[in-house]
Amino acid sequence: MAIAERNASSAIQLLTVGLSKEQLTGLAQAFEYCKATHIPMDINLLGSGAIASATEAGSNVKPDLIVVGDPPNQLSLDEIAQTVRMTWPGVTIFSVTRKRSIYFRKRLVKNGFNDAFLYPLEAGALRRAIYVALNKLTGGVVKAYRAVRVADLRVGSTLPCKLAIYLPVNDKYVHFMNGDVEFTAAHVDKLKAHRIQTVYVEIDELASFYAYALTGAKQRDSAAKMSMSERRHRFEDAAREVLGGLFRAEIKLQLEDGQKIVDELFSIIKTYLLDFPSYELPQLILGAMGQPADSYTHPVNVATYGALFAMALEIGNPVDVAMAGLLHDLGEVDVAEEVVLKPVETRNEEETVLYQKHVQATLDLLQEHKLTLTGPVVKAIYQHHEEPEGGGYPTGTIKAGLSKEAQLLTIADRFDYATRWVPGQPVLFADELLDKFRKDMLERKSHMPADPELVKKILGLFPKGGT
Amino acid sequence: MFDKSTRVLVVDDMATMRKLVMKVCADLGFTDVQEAADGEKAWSIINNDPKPIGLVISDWNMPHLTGLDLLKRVRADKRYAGTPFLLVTAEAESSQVTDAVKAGVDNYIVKPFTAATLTEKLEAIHKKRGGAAAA
Ligand SMILES: [Fe+2]
Ligand SMILES: [Fe+2]
Repeated sequence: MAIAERNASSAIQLLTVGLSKEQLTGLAQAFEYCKATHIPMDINLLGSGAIASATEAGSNVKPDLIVVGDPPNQLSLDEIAQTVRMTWPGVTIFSVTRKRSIYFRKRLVKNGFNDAFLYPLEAGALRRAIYVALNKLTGGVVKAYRAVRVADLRVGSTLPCKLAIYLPVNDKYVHFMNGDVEFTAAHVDKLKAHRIQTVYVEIDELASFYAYALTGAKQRDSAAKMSMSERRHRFEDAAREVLGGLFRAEIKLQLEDGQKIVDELFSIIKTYLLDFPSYELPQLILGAMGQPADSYTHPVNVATYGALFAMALEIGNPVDVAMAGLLHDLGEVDVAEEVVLKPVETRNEEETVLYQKHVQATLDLLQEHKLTLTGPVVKAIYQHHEEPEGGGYPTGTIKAGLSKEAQLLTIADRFDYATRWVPGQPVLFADELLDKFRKDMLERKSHMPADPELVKKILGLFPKGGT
Repeated sequence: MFDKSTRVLVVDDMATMRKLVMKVCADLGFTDVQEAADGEKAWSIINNDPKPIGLVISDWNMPHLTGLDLLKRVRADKRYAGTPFLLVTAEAESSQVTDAVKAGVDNYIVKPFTAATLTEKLEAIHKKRGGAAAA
């Protein structure tokens, strides 16, 4: 970290309460900007505010940022939220829990946390929130970034803001170019040469970037309402707002509550997936490929791909596919993270059985929340790991009964797994990812995710060899 | 506003929260703040204390005798009909507040709260009681 950052940030006092080793390691890079105090979960200590006794720090801790982990069994996270908030009224306090059973996000916020995150699913969102908080606390010295699309940059235009690139090897953002400078073909070549498809904008400059990118979008279609980057950000944020509330049901849910959620999902689909200029259609697919997986990128990507396949081929109902895409893997939250994160081929028999339970777990959650979904949506979710030859799960025997929506969803699902960037793996361009996916599908002897004719039609949507 | 020498009784089963509420009271300048760890203990203090309790700030959700039960017991006794009573609730319980209003609560405050919110609530209670009863 640069000297200026270190100086400004050493004044930031961070307090973590009851975080696991693994959580601390995952956030180490962000915490490097703070003078950190880590204490175990102890409610009496928290309420007294006299944390010095539990640490080597001589004086009392006056935190600027607090991250609270899981509560001990006999205490509720609500009570911890109230206690910590009353002890430090103006401080930014985040909660991170592994327990779905206590993850009532909205209620936790009402009880005093600034935000609450389910771990590990929302680890990415937590990290971003911490950076945003540090950015505010240091008056902008610690930078918080958001990924924008290279497709939103126009050669020959003057950039409205600085651009950074991300180096995954050391988890660092580095300066790429200044604002007020012309973006040229040479810049494009440079990005390509380094195999960079995503650039980063500081969050305080996002609004100016959106305005700049919208100007470009309007040049192509005067009816354009937002740029692709802005659409993507809003879509992901909206997905978290709704999906993040679906892991745990409040005790007394009524049909109206479920209907409200379905309405929200419909409005998200309408705003971000159905209402865009037609030239964006291939761009939406290409732009989503090769990105690192973040908290809600998978459901958002699968909904995007599935709906766009349906629209482009005029097969199945795009709204149903999108709805199923957003919801299809919710039940993964009940599967241990080591199992979820393991590549399919490396799971042992026991882990495979555990993982396969996520399909039913998803449907259970939807029922728990009284979501009134249409038959095709439920069917698509239930069948998203079935195969037309009968090798899939949970039944493995549905065969000819696979719905169009289920098959589109399944292909979209496999497509996202095949085309997302995995940390530690080489970065591939969209056309390379497409080639890889195409090859895999065409050379497959078994386990076709859908009717081979449908797979071919979808592959036909993409120009062969080059984008 | 309440006289700062008013004897205040803070009732909460969770020691940490009790201390926090007592600290907010002290921050507001109250000099005589008592505490009780549950409704039964609170009742016995209200009943036996030689100096009358001039303000009860009680948590709602407590084992044995809840805040609402305590309120009902206090209001049922003619001697304490005029004792200002503030219920402390959590967000999840705030929908049941009508029960407390029926039982004669003066006001309620939702956790977590700040000294400023507590001041507001206390001023509202004081005003409602004609600014006299709580001395
Ligand atoms: Fe799945
Ligand atoms: Fe999936």
